[in-house]
Amino acid sequence: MIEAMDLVKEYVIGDTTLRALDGVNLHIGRGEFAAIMGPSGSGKSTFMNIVGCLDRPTSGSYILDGTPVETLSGDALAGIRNRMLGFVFQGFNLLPRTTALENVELPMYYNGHEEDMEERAYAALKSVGLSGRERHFSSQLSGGQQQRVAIARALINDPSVILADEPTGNLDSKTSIEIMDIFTKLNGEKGITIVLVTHEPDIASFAKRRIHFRDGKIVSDERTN
Amino acid sequence: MFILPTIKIAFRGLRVNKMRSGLTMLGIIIGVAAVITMLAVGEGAREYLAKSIASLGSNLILVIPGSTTSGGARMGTGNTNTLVPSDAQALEGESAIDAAAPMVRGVGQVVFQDRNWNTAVMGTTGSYERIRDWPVSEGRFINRQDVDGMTKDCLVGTTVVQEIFGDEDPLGRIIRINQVPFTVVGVLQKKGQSLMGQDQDDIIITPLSTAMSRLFGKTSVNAIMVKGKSDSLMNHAVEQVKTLLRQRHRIPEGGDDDFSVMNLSEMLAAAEAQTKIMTMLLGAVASVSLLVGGIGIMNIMLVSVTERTREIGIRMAVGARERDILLQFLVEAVVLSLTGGVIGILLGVGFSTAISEFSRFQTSVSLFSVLLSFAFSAAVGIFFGFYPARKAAGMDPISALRYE
Repeated sequence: MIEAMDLVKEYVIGDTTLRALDGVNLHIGRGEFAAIMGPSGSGKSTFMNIVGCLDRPTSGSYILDGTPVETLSGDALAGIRNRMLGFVFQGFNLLPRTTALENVELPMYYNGHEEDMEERAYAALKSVGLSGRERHFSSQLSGGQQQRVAIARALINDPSVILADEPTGNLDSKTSIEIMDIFTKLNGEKGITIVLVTHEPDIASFAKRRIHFRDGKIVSDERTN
Repeated sequence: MFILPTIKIAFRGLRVNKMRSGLTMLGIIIGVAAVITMLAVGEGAREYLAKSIASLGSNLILVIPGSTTSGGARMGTGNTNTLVPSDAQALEGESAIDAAAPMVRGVGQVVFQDRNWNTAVMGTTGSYERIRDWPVSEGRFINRQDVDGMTKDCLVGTTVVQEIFGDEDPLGRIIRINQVPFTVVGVLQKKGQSLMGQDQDDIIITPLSTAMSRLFGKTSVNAIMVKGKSDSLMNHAVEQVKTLLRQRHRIPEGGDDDFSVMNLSEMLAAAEAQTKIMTMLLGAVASVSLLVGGIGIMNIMLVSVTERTREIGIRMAVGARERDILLQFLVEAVVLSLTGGVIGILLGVGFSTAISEFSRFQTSVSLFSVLLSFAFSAAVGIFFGFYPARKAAGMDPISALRYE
């Protein structure tokens, strides 16, 4: 599903070159639930940006579901983000002053799914346990509820991969567990590949595979059943 | 992305910030309303002028007695008695001249039965009908026999009819003008106000000869109105008038004319050109405010783009392409300016109507000015919305998502 070969990402700041990714090789198969861990500055966010088709590697190649992504145009990347990927962020990143329903509908605006937009958004919100709050504005929802809206939004176009960047970072531990249960269910029942970035070991323990980054390199890769 | 959802998104974006959207629109509203109103005032003036010109007649030259010098003292215009009826007769023989009518003017007290009225009395010949394009609605105009035979026939204007006849039929009635009895042989068609705002229908027309000898005791005329054969022959006609009158008045080579010739058509054309320039000036001044409104839109859109950086990042993350973002912000700007434009047009039409209603200015909102304003406000939206929209579309999704 996700195949990274010798990924290198360099940032030029002034006259120094910062190597954020230093030759990363990683294969994440379809239906895996992987956690990416590591201290800040270890390159895990840079890696996620490339996996999420928001950024391109300086060198190396990245194949998503058989498609070599680094050669695609900006519009094609946008299309891949829309159809194959779902994003869940630490800060929820919902549109302000917009209802839960409209937030969930948002990705469908960009692929022409018009006819059954509202029904699909209702169904997605139901699947994350938010029925009855469709017309609430994001500011009227608790952190856990906002993150559920974000997950519903990530799910709306039936993606093959969900990328979650510290999804529980702003939540208390009880809510965190609820959110992680949703991910586990999505992975188990729908077979969606989930890549999760976190630095909390107990959150990472929900994943079946834990990959540690340090200084732009993978230092360990362990699996549990 | 299809255009309809984009418009929906744009409207939602504007509704979220009602106060700001309203204030931004206000710039366009005021601009468009000003353009519409100013053009309406200009157009109204032009229409009024055009109507007046039409009521005066076309290709007209007015000859009035001019200044003469007697014993070294130069007399003012119109004080001399140099123009005589035979001058007009002679002018009619010239090749570029269609007709010439001598006129004597005065006022008279008109009496019919127990009613009386003070009105303008003018003596002229049958040519006057043709020159002013002013036929009778009933009866007949004054003709050659009337003038030659010094008959006491007369024509009355509609105002005079109203004032002294009321509902009675004036034809064939005898009225007294300054004690002299006249028979009404015709009623003049309604002409309306003159360019100076005078009621042209408050008039009685008598044969020239009768007016000169019976009413006013004059041997010269106040003016001769001349109609040129065609628009293109007007300069030629003026020349012929001058040459012939100098000959007839025996003015030596190098001597001053004892008459003045005014090309009325030319003067009116000049007045019309002036009105046009005034309209353009008013419109130009008003469109400056429209431009300022457009800059307001750009300003607000720039603020809005910066403020919504995170939203742009989110949209990009869920699959918006650059052109989707560009279109979204461009449509927002155009919706702002067009909504403002429509409100401005309504307001401008309202103002124009109010001006016509409560002042003496006539206004006329032309379809052209409405379409122009609409197109102009759309153009303002596109022009001033493009830069902020491009700025939004060019954002890097990663930094946009992290923007605080």
